[in-house]
Amino acid sequence: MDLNYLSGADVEANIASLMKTPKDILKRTADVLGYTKKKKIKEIILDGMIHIRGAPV
Amino acid sequence: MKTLGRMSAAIVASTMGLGISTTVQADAVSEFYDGKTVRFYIGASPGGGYDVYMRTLVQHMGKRLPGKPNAIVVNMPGSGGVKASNYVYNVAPKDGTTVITPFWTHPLFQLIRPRGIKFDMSKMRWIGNMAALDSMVVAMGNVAKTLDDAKTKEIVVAASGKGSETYIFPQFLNRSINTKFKIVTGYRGTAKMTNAMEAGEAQARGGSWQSWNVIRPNWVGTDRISVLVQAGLAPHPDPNVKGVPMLVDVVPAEYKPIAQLLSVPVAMARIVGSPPGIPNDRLMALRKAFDATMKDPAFLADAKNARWTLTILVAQMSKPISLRS
Repeated sequence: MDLNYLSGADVEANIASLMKTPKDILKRTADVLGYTKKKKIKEIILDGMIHIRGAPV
Repeated sequence: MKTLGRMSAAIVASTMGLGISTTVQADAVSEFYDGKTVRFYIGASPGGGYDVYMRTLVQHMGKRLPGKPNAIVVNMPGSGGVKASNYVYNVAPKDGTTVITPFWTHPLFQLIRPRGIKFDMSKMRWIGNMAALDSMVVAMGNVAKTLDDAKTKEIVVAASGKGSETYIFPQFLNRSINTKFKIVTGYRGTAKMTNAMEAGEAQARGGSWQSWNVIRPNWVGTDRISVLVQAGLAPHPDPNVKGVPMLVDVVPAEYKPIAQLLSVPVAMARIVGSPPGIPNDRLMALRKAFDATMKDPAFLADAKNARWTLTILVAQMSKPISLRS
């Protein structure tokens, strides 16, 4: 059996590389996985509050 | 001759000096660890894939640490392992007595799901990586045979939290190819998800293929389960999953960069590290113990007995991988 481990230095280099992933890919990934969903709901609620606050008295 | 003699003397003195320096350093590290307890944290419950890997590692690596400290495993499940990573990064001692195997998703999540994350994996001090894995979505054999089946009927998927691969891949498939996975979160560990499948409470789960070999080895290669899709950088060499489609191949073109991004970290699926701030000499001692453990025949034999299926294209990781949109 071949274990094929990575050294600590290898791991550090690979994680540093991962951190350089283009932002558009990261954003789309977050959207697809539903990680931005709560933010959108919050925005909608916030929009509603602004509307209520700005509505004529 | 005289010059050579002087040079030789200088080299001998220098070598002796280095030797003394190294010995003093080793003694200081040994003295530090003597009588201490090194805690190896995992964000998963006992009995799952992470747990088995860590316990096998600790059993052997602990004996190789200078000063012969106690080495124990600490299970701290919760929030897809984020609870443990947050704790280790911010609260646990940073003196060399804290080690963690974070979930493979954590380096990715600090980029795409930072809410709740209080760590920076690029600042962790890494000791090494035990293995590269494949994450797969597996259904009960009488429920679905292929991904196409999952497009035509609702399949209940057991998952831990939204930070776990058990959620990520079914969710990604729902969005990219319109599968009808109904993801139920809250299960603590793949062992409990598997129990839920056996009890009929759930019909599928994500997770590493390795975990199946650990938790239900008698199901592997039988009709009890169907492997619907696999993530990773290349097809898993296990003959039991031969022909199972790769995630990157089943999604439309616009989703392929995302599939690749999700697949890359599984090649570093069992990273082992300490929080930033660990003194360098102790980090070097931990790395030395780790490296020696990975080559230790006794460790390899135990890993084999624990049904590790270690494999897959770590050679590809010898150069850092970069993604392009």
